[in-house]
Amino acid sequence: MKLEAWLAFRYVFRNRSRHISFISLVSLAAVSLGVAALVIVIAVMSGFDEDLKSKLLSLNFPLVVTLEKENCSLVKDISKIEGVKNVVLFSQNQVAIRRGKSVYPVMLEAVSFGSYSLPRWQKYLKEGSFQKGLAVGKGIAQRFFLGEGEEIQILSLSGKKLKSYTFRIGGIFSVGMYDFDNTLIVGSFSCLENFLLENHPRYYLGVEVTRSRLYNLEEIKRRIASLDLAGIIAITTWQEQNQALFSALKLEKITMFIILSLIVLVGSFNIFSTLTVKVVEKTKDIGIMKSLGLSPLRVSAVFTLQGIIIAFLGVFMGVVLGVGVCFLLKEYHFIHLPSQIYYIDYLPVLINPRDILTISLASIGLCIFSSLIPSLWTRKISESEALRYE
Amino acid sequence: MSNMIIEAKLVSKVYLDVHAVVKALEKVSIGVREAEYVAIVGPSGAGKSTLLHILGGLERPTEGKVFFRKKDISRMKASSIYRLRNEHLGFVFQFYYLISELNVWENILLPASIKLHYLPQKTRDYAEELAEMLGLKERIHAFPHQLSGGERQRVALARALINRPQILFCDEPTGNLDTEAAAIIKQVLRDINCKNSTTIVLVTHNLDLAREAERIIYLNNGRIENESSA
Ligand SMILES: Nc1ncnc2c1ncn2[C@@H]1O[C@H](COP(=O)(O)OP(=O)(O)OP(=O)(O)O)[C@@H](O)[C@H]1O
Ligand SMILES: [Mg+2]
Repeated sequence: MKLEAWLAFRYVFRNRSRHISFISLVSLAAVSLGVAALVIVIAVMSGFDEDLKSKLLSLNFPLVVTLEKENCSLVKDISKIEGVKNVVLFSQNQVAIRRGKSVYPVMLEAVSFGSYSLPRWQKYLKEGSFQKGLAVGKGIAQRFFLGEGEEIQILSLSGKKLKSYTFRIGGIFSVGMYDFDNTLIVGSFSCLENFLLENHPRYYLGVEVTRSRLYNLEEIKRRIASLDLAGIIAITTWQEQNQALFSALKLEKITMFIILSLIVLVGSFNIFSTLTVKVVEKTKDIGIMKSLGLSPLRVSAVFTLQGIIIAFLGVFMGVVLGVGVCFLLKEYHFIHLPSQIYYIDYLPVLINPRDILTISLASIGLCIFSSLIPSLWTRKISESEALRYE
Repeated sequence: MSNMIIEAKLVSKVYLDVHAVVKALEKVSIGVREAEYVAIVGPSGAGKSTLLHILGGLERPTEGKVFFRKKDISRMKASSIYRLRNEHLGFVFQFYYLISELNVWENILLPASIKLHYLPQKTRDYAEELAEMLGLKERIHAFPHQLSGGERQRVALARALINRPQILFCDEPTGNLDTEAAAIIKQVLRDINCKNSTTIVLVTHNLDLAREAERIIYLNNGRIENESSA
């Protein structure tokens, strides 16, 4: 194998000008570009996936318990369940903002600014504070030219008759997700006390769990249910709340993988044609090697190994290029997305070693397969005929 | 007939073309003795190359048998023929067929590398000796495209000799060379035959070179027409 590998290296890397032969270079570029594209796209998709999950988790609770009515004793009981970090009571009302003659539907959420809820929102607060009044989403603020300290009128739809409340805006938050920024108003229980008394909100318990439980919520869900079956309307996990989104993302990732594998397939086809050309071009060499006693199997190994060298090098370069571009994307956010359309205004990137390994192995496999066929053609070349005429 | 190193017995070769059946050789019998220098001459298309290829195990005859040291190589299995060619036979062709990605030194050592995984010092020494003898010492690191035709043929000759073959087959080794370069090859072949007692089977159009041989075989229309000894 030593001789065959050595010959293969020479055929790939040396031509008359002692540089890598042009034809090898082209197939190398084809393979590495395909692999790089695959690495980048999969990393961006994983990035979206991850970013979406962390955003969803930082705003939505892993488990949300829908309550029959406000129930504070349940908070204590649920807190005692193993794996539960925190339990937060919040309420939601479907209301509308009135500004002049226009009315705009929003969700009014009341949260307790105790130990936990405030920091969760604090992160996204761009100006002002929750102590001073309601916090409105950036989208709503922009739409109605609202600023900190101004007043807004809120129409309640859930009472027996339409009633208008006036609140002061304490701050503006920006989550970076369209739905949140354009439809949500958040206030503390104390700020919304009167409003809550007159309207009948739906109460929820947000259950925060330890990291290790995030993907294994069934046990906790069952134990919560056993606490107070009558008082609980529903328990939903964050995956259930966003099921359609997650399955769409997963499907999209698989589809992209398949589509981009076609690019690698084209790259590997390049190896196929490169080697085919080389076999034809080197007919005399094949003839002379055979006449010198190199067996047909070893001759074909010389050519398969050329394909393998190109495959490994191409995949390696593709991974380096892909990871490099991902790194730049991550560091410099140089591609901007319109945040009105996407929930995020740059391309998020997550490089998953397992994805890279899958891509590399699949690509190398494809390339080796496509170098096998041309190498087998060397067996058809008879030394006697190859060496007869110039 | 006891010391025949290679022997063809009633060898025929028929090529099946799309248009015609070509009888390249018809019942040719020929024996070459140990350390003999034989030249095969004849008009173009006479079957000289075909005969040489069959004797050298590059091609199998349609009919008849070829013996190398009493072993029938025309029925030998492929892997044994490759071994035989590598270890005991050397070939030189009109068009040199050097590997252009390898330099002179690597080209010369190629048959040895096919035979052995690691080259012993004595093989390297012998390669150096051959390079010296063929006047290639200064050009060891050159690549084939940097060499003249005469130099290339000498590299091909060194390559054919590196495994110390028992028979050297040459198919018009001077066909592409000028008189001067041809004279060097002629000299070297004579030396190898005399000093190393290597058997030489040579196909040539060059009468000057053919006269070097102990025996000249005239081939015409796939048959031996005449034989003459020096
Ligand atoms: N593969 C082949 N298919 C069909 N015919 C062939 C083939 N190889 C050789 N021949 C024919 O066999 C005959 C002998 O060919 P060969 O090459 O042995 O001639 P030669 O004596 O070496 O001629 P030259 O001096 O021109 O090299 C020729 O008529 C040639 O056309
Ligand atoms: Mg010929």
